[in-house]
Amino acid sequence: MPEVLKSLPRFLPEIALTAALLLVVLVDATGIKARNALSRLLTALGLAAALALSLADHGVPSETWSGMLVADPMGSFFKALLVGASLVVALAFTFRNSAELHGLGQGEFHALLLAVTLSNLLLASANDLAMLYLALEMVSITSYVMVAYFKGDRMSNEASLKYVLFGAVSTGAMVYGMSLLYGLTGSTSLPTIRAFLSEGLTDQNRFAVYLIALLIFAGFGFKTAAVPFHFWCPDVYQGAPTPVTAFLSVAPKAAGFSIMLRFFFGGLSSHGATPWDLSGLIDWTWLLMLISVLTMTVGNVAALTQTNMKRLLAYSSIAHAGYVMMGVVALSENGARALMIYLLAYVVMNLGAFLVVTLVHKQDGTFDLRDYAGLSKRAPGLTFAMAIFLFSLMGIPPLVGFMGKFYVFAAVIERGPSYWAYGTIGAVNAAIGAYYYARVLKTMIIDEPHVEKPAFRLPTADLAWIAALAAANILPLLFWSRVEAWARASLSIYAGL
Amino acid sequence: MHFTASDGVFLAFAAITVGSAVVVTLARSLIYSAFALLFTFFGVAGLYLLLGADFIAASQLLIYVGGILVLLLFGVMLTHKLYDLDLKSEVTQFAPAAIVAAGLFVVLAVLGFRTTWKIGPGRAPSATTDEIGHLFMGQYLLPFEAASVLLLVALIGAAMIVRRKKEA
Repeated sequence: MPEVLKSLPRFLPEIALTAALLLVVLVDATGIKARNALSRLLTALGLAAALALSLADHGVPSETWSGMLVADPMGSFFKALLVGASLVVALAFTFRNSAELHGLGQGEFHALLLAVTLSNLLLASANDLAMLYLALEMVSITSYVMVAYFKGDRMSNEASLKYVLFGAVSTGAMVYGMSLLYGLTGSTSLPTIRAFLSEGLTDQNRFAVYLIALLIFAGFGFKTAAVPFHFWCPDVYQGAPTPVTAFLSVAPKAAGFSIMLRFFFGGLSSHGATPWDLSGLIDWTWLLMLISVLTMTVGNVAALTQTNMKRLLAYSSIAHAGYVMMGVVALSENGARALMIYLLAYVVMNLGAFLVVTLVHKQDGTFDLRDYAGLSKRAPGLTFAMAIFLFSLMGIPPLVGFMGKFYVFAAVIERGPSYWAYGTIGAVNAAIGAYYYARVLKTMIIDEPHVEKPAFRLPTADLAWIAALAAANILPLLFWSRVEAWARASLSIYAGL
Repeated sequence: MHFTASDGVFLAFAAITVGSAVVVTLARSLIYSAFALLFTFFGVAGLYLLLGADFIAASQLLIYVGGILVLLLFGVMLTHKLYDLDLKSEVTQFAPAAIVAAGLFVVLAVLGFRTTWKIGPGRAPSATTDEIGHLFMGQYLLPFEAASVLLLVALIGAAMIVRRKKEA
């Protein structure tokens, strides 16, 4: 009981989300006419409250719930990021502006959105393998349902089934790795595991820990869509309703990275002399470096030939996962900060690009890149906003996407000459990426349309959200020192000392 | 190292589990697979019991054998298309699959034998229900509660997926 009372004040965002979730379910069950609007309002209020409460948590880093979770600045940062992403999805991607969701019941959608957000928060602050696994499964299972939301559609069903099958295999591998880790260390608590590994390992046990790290990474890799755990990604992104795709491409991915940071920084290394030391000389960084290189290369090369916008953005999101992982591989304070800044930028640029795709689909009923030809004449504002999102995804200054890339590359380069080759591969990949983003722009601006299409009319609300997201890609640069300070202040991970 | 009675029991349960699991994957008819699964679940329950996990063994029998499997059998038998379905269980891509499986087996075997596992203090088998209850209401309160949210969401999801018509 004292433990519960101690933990509750650090658990307010999650409580707000749970309350909103239950209210949405109840409201939807009443069957009143206004239930769709009401459930959307409740969702927005719940998310806004959770966002405010996440930002308001300034307590000392400590374990909560008997060591199941931790409350620390890094957790608050990720909570704010994850709730913020959900809030943008709930408000900007409505049932009105998505041709796929139009006319479907909204109550379940909002309940599921709140449930994934809640699970994301639990995942972002998990401190125990049991909690970590449960939170990850909660995110996955809820996402499977969201992908299948477009029920009448074969692609949506197929995507959901593929997602389930890949999810089952990867989380199976992860939980097997966790059981081995428990067998080795006798504990599921990350700080205890770290302490055990730091005491030194025999060569045989070191081999076991490498294998365990790889198995557990299967779960994180599945969530973040890292190669070779990415096979579900293009099909699921293509088959899912676009608002769900937009949500999946940012929120669970960010949660996956937060737990990757926590596991590899807080579990397999310790805060030592050279910012971070590897626990028990387990050099997992080369393993992640290899995966990161594969991830960005496969993502970028596969994206080159895509003509479906959702698939193109799916491969682009795989490539971005590769860049974000550079922050983990760097294993330094700057690396963690770079990862956080990159994810912040990634949320606004990717959600923006997906919002444009949704609106074009609503108007023209197509996801095909070739049908984007001549869009600049019909919708100059939308094209301009898309240009901002794509330039940001490319990493062109002065947009937030550039800042993200700048920080991750800097964090890798400063680790010394042995990392320079890695940084170079990343730079080459960024150049490949620029090609296919530019191809989208070329189609929109230069190519002549095959057929005449009716004028492009955008409701004010959608226009406002497009403008807001475009502004979010530029304006943070004006008060960059504050953004950087926020990320820097969020660096301290509860290390269980 | 000498062979004890508990080793014998372990081998018997392990043989039941693995043997029936092989039938599950190789059987041509779905109904045979489902029935073979009964013995797999039973074998696993036996292994739990051997480890002194009486509560989990009982739950395994009640939930998997008594609930999930029966539901599975109903599902198979009530669905004609599935019942009469001749499963295509021909072996495709045998060589790569065999190499991967053998490689994985070697790696896991080496891992199992070479690693020094943490061995806790032994204790006489006793009822675990009481302890599990205390842990759920104490140390593991949050995962316990989170699991209830997961169940709620699973219910909503299941209802959403099976409901037939679109509604506004």
